[in-house]
Amino acid sequence: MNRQKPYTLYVMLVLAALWIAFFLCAPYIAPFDPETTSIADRLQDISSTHLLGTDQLGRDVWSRILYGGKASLGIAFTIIGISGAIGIAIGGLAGFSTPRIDRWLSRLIDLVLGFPNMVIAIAFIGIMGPSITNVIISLCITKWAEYARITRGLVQIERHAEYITFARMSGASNLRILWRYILPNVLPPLVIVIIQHLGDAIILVASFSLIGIGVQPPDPEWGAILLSSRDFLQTAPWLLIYPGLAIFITVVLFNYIGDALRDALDVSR
Amino acid sequence: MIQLENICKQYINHNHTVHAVDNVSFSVAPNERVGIAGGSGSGKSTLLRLIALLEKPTSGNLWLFGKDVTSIQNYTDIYRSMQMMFQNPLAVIPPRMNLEAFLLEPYINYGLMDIAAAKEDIRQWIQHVDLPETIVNKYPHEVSGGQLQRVVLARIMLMNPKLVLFDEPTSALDAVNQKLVLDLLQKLHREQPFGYVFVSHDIGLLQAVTDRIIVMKDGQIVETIESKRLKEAVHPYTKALVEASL
Amino acid sequence: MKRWLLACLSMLCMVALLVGCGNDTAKDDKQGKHMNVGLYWFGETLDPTHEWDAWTLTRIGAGETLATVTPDMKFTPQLADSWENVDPTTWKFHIRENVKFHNGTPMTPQKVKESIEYTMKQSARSAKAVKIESIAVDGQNLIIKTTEPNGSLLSSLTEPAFVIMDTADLKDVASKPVLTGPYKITSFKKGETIELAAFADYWGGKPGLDSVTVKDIEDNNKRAMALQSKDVDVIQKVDSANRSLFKDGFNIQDVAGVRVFMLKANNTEASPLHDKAVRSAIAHIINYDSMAKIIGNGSTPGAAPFPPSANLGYDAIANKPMTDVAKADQILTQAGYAKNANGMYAKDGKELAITIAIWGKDTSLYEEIQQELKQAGINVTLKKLQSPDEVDTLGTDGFDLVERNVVTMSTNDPYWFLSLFYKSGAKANVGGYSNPQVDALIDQLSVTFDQNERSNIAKQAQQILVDDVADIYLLYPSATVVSTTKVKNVPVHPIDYYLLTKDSTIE
Repeated sequence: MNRQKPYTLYVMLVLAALWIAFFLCAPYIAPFDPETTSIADRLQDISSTHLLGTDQLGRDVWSRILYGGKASLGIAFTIIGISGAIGIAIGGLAGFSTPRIDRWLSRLIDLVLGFPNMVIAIAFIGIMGPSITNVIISLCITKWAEYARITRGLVQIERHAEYITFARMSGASNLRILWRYILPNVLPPLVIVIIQHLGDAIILVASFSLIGIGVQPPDPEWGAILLSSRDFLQTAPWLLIYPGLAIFITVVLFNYIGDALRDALDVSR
Repeated sequence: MIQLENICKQYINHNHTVHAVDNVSFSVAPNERVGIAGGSGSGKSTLLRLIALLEKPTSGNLWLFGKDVTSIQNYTDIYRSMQMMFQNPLAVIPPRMNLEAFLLEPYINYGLMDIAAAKEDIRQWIQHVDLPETIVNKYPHEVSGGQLQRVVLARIMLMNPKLVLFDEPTSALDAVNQKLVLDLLQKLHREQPFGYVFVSHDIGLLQAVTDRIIVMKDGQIVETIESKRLKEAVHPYTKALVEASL
Repeated sequence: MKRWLLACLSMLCMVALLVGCGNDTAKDDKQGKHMNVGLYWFGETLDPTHEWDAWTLTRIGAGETLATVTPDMKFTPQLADSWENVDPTTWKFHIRENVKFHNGTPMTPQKVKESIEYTMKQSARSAKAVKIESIAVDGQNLIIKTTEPNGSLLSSLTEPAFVIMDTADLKDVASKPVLTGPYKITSFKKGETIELAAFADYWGGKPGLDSVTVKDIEDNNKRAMALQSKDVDVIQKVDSANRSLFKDGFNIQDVAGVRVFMLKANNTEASPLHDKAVRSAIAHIINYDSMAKIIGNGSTPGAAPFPPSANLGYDAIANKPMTDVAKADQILTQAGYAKNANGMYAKDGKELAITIAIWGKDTSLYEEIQQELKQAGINVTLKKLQSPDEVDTLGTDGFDLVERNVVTMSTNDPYWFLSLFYKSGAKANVGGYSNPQVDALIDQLSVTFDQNERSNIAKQAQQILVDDVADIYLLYPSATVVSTTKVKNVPVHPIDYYLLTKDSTIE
């Protein structure tokens, strides 16, 4: 069976990995400290020392974008990582357990799915105060349910596959079936969903900072930079364009990869 | 080895009851080769699944290896001695598992021997079923149906089962591969006797591989006859099946 | 593919919304001379006695007080044409004749008395400021008796809460109070617009406009854009980011304001700022020129409680903290602090780290301060409050410094600022500053009537505050008014609750 190697996908995967690694290495790459101010150098244009110019306090925009990316990506990954882990665990349990346990877990999942997640997140931050930890917690509270629902569905389908029956006849215990048979088949579609959600998460985090309830000044984060630059829309628009572009490229990258992975995995099956 | 007494299996389908298996009773002795023949809807596959403990009978009694199955909690012990082979080999091997891993499962799960020894044992079995050694590194979708069924057979036989249930294992294969698999089955049985129940719609095929044939129609047994004496069948349904297979 | 495209587009829209594109409906086609004004704040209502809502009434030329303050900070008659301080607790105000309310009713001394009494009854803050015991009508005069000698009576009566209104007609007081100014209110849409029409029977003569629309545009960007697109003809307040947009084709008027941006210090034992050396060191580390540059717009560096425009001898103040990091180091070393391995000041093993509580939308000023202090060796955490009201309930362990933005010469009188912020136990004195000398001066100020003497007392208090390093004074913003070239006679006033006048007009 001839399978066309998805070269574009590999290229995009490498690009995405580089993109992420780039920002995560901000402390090693950034030429300036993102918080050091220099009033005398404020609002400068692109120059050889300041690759993308300076902001209203003389801070190097390029360094702030780099550190901002580390924050944006880091927070987004953490949210997806935590809610994904919780969701897959609970969903897997629900899909694989006895009908009684499944019923209770499904009810829980449906209940949480029914919550308006933005409202709850904003309310949580309103009560607990804005901080990076609270942003992460407030979004994880509801997000895990989406992964739980998908995982449960996939596991239930897998569960009735004939090779599961055969595996039991090979003496496999429930735990072994879950680990060796179900998970490897359930993970690929889950990974695709997660990659797509990463793009959403980055926008969510940036949006929270943009309305003032996410990352607080002076910490750089793409949405927070957008917020503090908005007075300069007409007089120094580049302060808004760079973080906006960074968000846009990241989201495009993740969503493209998610779509391409989905297509690639279908072919092999 | 197997004993069925008044086994019934009913389903409710769109407000009327379907009697898939209706008051069936028979037994299978150790090392006996029994065939179950019938058209579709005769209940033969359902009966096999009941024996395989994949479904529970609505009523009746079933004993396996002398034990009443309703008293058994852990099926894993039973499966150590009883195996089942299905029609579609691709359905029983997980697509992302290579054949060596597939074959290793029983060794690992039942602790038959350590991995290194198991791999050697597997290699010998592969040769024994006339397949090239390199096949163990392949994935199920890379191998032809006939070869896969032989791998499955190897997998079943390496456990040295006392009883194997066959649910039309060759129906999806072409004539050449069908013969290969059936010849292999006979060879294995000669080397190491075991009992089996073979379900097929092709009564002519059954005649070649079984000692006794049970004929089912609409969930009931209509005739039981020695395979050698198939031509002397009395029941019209049996005769029809014989006609069809010629 | 579509999902993320949608997400990105909605993100861009959010930015656009926040920046404030999209102005109001088409320009009004009004007959005669009409002006559109953009203010940066409305109160909740237009009821003169409700909180600070009256400040809008004086801005839009609707309400008037007995006396008012000119742009060069002098008291001048408005609804009273003369006054005298008969004895320490008695004042006589001669009420102007031939003044009508917006509903045509004549404004008699009796009606003025009723208006003042109504304000005192409704607003505790106002009653406390005037300390009036009784008001008697004597022909065309009002005889006001105070409970104790009150040197601030005249200035307190200029506070917009004391605009004279017709208390017989209170049914629409929250949206259309009946006042005496050149423009009368015809409609009020909360948080959005106020419509006014010229008052034909205005005592001062024909107003320069036939009608006015006032819009509430709180966002700096949106307000600047409204002026750019000529959706409004004049705006109050523009930030330095947008100022350059109006270089050509517009009139920009600045005047040194009477506001101070300051950091109120926690003088209690709960904070390291309890130690004067720490406060002084911080005051010497902060770069006041940078502070003024960040806010821009003609702002001037701080370092003292009252700005130069308050006419309290700013230049003559001794010991004003100049930016001098070496001196700050000296001060801290003498107080027992030394730099540890991290380069931060520490004493008894504890690093010097402070929290600055902030509430404003623009945090650049405090981010800069954070950097300056950090580089000098003091760690700063910025704590964002959800609203400015939280400042009063912070508690002494909630902050070391807190953002404040205060009018120092409200009603052209230093008494209000000093008594509210620096008297022991006063409401806005959240840092617990207490100096008996200052308390005594404030009390003295309250019973002094001569203007020169009042200035001297204020100057003395000011010097003590500087010597004590009571708080950190960052900068004095300018008051700014920007208008199209067609707008005439809208003066910029150091006290920014004055804007439109009878002569304001448009060509």
